[in-house]
Amino acid sequence: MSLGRRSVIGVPYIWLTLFFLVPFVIVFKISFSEMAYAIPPYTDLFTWADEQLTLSLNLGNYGYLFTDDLYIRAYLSSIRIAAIATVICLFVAYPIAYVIARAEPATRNALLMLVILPSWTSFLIRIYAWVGILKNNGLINNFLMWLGIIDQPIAMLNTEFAVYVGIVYAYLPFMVLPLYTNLMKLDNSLLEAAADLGAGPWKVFMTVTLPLSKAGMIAGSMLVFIPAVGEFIIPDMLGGAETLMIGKVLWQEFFNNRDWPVASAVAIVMLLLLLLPITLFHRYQARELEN
Amino acid sequence: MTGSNQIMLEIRQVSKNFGGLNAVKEVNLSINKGEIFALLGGSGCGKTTLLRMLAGFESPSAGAIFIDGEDISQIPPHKRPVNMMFQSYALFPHMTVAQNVAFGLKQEKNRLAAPEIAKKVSKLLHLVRMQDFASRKPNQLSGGQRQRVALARSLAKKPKVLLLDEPMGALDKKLRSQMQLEVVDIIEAVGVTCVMVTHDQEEAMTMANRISVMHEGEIMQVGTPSEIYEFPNSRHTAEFIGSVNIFDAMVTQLEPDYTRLSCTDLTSPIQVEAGINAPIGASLGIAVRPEKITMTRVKPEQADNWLMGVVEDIAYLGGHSVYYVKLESGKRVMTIGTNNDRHEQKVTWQDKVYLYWSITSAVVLYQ
Repeated sequence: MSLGRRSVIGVPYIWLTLFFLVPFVIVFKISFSEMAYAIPPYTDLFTWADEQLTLSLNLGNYGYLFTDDLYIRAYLSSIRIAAIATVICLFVAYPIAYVIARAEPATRNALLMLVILPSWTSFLIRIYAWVGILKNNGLINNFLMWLGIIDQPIAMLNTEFAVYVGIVYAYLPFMVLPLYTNLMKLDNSLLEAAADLGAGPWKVFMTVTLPLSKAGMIAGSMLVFIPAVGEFIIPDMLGGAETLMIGKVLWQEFFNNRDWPVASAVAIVMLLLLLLPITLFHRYQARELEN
Repeated sequence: MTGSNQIMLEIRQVSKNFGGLNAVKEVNLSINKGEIFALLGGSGCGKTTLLRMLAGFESPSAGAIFIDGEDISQIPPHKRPVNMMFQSYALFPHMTVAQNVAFGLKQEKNRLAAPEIAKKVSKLLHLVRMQDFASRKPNQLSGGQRQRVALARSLAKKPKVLLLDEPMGALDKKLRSQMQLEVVDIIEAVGVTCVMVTHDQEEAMTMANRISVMHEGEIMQVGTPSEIYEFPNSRHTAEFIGSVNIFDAMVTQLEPDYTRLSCTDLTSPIQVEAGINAPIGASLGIAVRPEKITMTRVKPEQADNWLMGVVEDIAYLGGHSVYYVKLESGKRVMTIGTNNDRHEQKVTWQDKVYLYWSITSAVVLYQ
């Protein structure tokens, strides 16, 4: 391999090593240490005393996660919320992606911009805006009360519903874009062939369009599901105290309890949980490429 | 093949505009039951638009299409008794060969039971000799195999009219000529009426019973392959089908059984058989196919229909050679000589030669 080639490939590798692998190793290391009232607030794994190098691995942090059912509940609840939000996202994004992919080229770019444009604003501000929309004297409640449809404000903020709204809103582009790319590649003559062979529009969609967009659906779902599991801002700002998600627990361990080792263990377990869907996704992709 | 002259497909005054562009202009065609009919023309001549109107993917701006006496102009594609074999075959990549072929059968209102469908599919796959590939996916097939599957799929529902869009377009040249005959055999075995679109005149002549030559949205001529080749009715048709020499000539003598014309490019007058439908002084085109022209080194005895020139170019094509003879006026005339005469001295570059043709060889082109 030439030097030029090696350096082109090398840059991303160096990047990933510096900003992904090294931090991960640090977190992994902390997860095996003990909490200490010190700076940083954990003990070293390696100690040097009396000409002896001691490696002390504390597995207690992982064991602790299973003694308190808070963690297990938080994991399960996170996965459930992320999964439901992903499905909602898929249902909302599919028609959007379909319409954009079928639109005239000039309209297509404008519609794509409408999907992407909101993400140019700060994520935090956009979620904060939802607080104003969903709260008891917020936009929706005030409007419905003004119309006279309701007398009492509907409690939307600080519910799981608000978390779904937030996740679907924030992660929609990540679902729309892979679906759009996939649907763009769909050969129109396949749809015509299906119609020609007697399939009505709905049947064409179910038997040709939908199965052929499977790769886009899976890619989009991964892009939504994986970050949604660890989401912190949305459940924190919109979900209130009731909503239990692992991102919030992580935050509390780090900043409220200042228990870095347990927090690190929480993060490592979350990563392991996400490894499963990611591996399945890669297997699927590899199989698709083979065909 | 055109055993009964029962009309299966009738196209009446059909036009199609795309935003001010007239893709198809007032086309009228009648296609008989069991016939293989080719729409032949260059790109942009409207042949594909016409085919897509038959399939229902486009609707005519004016006129009507009748299949078996029923007006189908307003019927959506999935309800038409018509099936199409697409240019790129459009096989469903996520289905096996058998599933592709079964797709149409599964869409029928009174759909057959699964074992019945399986039986039909296997029969169709036998017909196209693809029975051993039933569980393959389309991307595991070669071009020719994909075409057979596409053909089986479009025949599965026993359509009243089978549409073929550039049927050999995706195949390489060698496979093409083999598949042309094979496809015709299958279509004739099934006995389905077939309309095909092609830009390849050889393909149209090999496969079709009748050809319609299209140009700029209009039908220039309809006829059997030999009619179209031997008696083209326009310069466009004559030039599109095969090679031709066209002389611009003026009528000088009108007789009941022959007509004489003068051409500025030639020293001798041109004589054509039978009277023609034009007054003295009218300008016409006279078409002579290269293979109807004989080349010699001695001046021909006939008074008319000959010319003299110098061999400018020879294209050796194996069995025969094409000679380009330059006249004094600068016009180039094409002729064909077979390469089987070993005794005669070969004509070569810069040789002075005479070309002549018989009175029955020339065709008058009015437009």
